[in-house]
Amino acid sequence: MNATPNIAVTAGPGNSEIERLEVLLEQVTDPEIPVLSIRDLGILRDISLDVGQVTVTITTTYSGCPAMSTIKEDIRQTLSAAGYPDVQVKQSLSPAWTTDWMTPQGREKLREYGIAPPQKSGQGHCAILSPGTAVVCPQCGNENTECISEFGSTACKALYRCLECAEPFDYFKCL
Amino acid sequence: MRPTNLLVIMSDQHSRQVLGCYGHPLVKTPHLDRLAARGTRFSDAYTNSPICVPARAAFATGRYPHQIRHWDNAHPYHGGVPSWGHLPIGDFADTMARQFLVDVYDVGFYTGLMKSTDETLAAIAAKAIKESRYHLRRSEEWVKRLGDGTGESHHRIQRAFNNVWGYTHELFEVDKIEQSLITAGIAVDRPALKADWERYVQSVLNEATLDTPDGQWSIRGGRQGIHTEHLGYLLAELQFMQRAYPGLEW
Repeated sequence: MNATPNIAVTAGPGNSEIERLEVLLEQVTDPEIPVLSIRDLGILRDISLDVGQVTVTITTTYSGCPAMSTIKEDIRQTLSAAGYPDVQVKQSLSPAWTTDWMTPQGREKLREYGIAPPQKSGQGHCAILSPGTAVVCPQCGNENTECISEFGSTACKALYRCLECAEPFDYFKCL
Repeated sequence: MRPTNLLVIMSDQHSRQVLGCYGHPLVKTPHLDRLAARGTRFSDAYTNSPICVPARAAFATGRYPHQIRHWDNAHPYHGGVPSWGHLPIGDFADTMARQFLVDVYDVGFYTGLMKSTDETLAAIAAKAIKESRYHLRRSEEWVKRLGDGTGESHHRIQRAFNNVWGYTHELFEVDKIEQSLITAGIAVDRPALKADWERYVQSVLNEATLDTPDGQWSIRGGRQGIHTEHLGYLLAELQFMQRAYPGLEW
């Protein structure tokens, strides 16, 4: 369940092309958190290429995430503009997405954007679910913060407040 | 005073300009013109809202849109606000009591569904269980906070549990089709979840200083298609766009 993201590479002479596709897909971002690419977020699960047809497999973050259709469309448009008109976007269910798949760069981008990144859930240190785990303020770096609402601007986030710099902020919950 | 029956005919989005009796040169409305000729034709009446649903709601209640808060067509006028379980939404205590009882059920249900022989169902459950734990944590904390809070919050959350309790029995009932799916290892044996559900709910109610409601009364039939009167309002809201704009596309 806590496996690292595995970008499969189709066998054959297309490896460098897969790498090119990976670079192209870096442009596709989460419409609700535009600083994160789908790769940063860990929802890009697989890219394969078969006689000109590109198959991109993604998975959802939180169930019923309203951004999925936009993300699918963005993948098609981005690849189409780069000369890949034949694109299939598949959605995988299993294994279920976990915030542990978020890349270190993704976590840093989140923090810079003002959202406290999720802890590693595999290590049993999830704020909210494991009381006593601190959520660090993304603005001033202080651990003296408190939860205002366990569900925030989106279901995947909670609303916090820093007791040092007094700024409110979103915390991306461990899942 | 003797009760009188009144028939009110209200044409939808109908501007006075497009009526013969108001002098339109082309539009022909002979029936409405005859009604106007025999009755009173107002020349300076204004609608309370230029949008149809708020206008009707204001007309029906004799109150302004800002008083009844039916601001636009997304708020059908029906005299009550529907919600999950198609019971009237009530106050925050009603929402949390209902949510808590379902969250306890969901965690048990998805734990069972993760073992389904159907791979897709098992995958959905493995995902949903992680989210359900957050949902349960939140509603459980609110139940405790309201129950063990002020006299008023205690009264409201107790009343909320008393009102919703009779609807919970159905969570653990199955029909023949579902029974065959349980036997095949696809569906969850929901009746078997009841004992754990009761134990969990009981322990939280105790901690919240709340009484377990009387288990005698129950509302059943939802799974056979027999619903309470509140479902009609819910469907009216959900079907609003399709009924107001038949064949709409976007």
